[in-house]
Amino acid sequence: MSKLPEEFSDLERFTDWCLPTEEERYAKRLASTMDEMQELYDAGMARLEDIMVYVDARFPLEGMPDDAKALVHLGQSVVMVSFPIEVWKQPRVLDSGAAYIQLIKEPVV
Amino acid sequence: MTEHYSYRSEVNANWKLFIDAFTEFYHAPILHMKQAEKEEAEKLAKFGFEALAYDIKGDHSMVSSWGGMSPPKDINMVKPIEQILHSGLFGPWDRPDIKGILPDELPPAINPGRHKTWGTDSFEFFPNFTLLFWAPGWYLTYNYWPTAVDKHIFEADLYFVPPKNLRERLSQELAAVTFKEYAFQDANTLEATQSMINTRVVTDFPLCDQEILLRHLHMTAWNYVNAYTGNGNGSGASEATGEASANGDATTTTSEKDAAHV
Repeated sequence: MSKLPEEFSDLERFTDWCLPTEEERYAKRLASTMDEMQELYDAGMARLEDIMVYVDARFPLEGMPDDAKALVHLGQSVVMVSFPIEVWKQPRVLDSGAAYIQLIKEPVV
Repeated sequence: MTEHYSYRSEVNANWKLFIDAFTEFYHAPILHMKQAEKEEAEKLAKFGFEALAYDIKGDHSMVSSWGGMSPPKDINMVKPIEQILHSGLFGPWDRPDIKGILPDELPPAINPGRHKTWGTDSFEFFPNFTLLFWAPGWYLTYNYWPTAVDKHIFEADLYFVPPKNLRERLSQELAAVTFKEYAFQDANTLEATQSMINTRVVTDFPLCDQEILLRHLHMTAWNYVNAYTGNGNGSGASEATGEASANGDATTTTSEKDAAHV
């Protein structure tokens, strides 16, 4: 059964990135290879504008159906992998040594 | 501004080192060079940096800085994700539709120089609270909680106007993600600095003309410590405040005690 709206069936192969919290998205980023993230980035960046247009034309941020919510979470993962792909060329932040910062509170869609 | 992101980190560095790193902005074009596209980053690095205004009030202080990337002059100056989401290190480019945040509506304490290129103001409330306002209409706070001479807990909180739709929500998401990416780099430089200080090979640290807030922080902290150790009962806070002058000379603090462990 598909997880995303029918209009985004081309992104269905990335639904393991439909993660609601930053903690989950960050952990998946660190556990992924650059090739895996490049695939998500390429496909997701091409549809990011469409994702915003689709959701904003239909639903408010509060109370959207599960398939639209999964689409939003996928969009958030595209944002998450943009740094490894566009900037660092590695999953971890460059020049960050042993430092670690944790997001402990966030608005979850 | 109730849309709230909160961050926490245990940093292996003295609490004042983190404030040192954040109360000047000239580090950004160099340490965070990769924030901009390569050509633009190289231009920025060569251009140099000077803040727009400074102020000191008692134990407290502020610095005002430019920040021209929200929105950028040329869309090609920024990364592809920023081009789509209209956001980045300086926050979402599109100001929220609320009263009081347009340049000529800001209170006199914000952007005191009334510079057109203004980007951010950082207010340092001694000892451990920072309030940072950004031109596009959001703010953040920092708290520093010392847990040992070479450790502290760093807390950061980002506040935005609640987004009305997904476009605004993802714009804020990118600002929050970007904040964390660069905070990692900031935290790591501090731990490296602390490691160096621990060797005690270097004990004098020259401060440049732009590091007015650093000088003030260290002088103020030094005055409090001296007032405490001077009368032996820890009731010297008001005495210390009274001793504070506008611009401390940090080099004087190294003569009698180990400045690295104030």
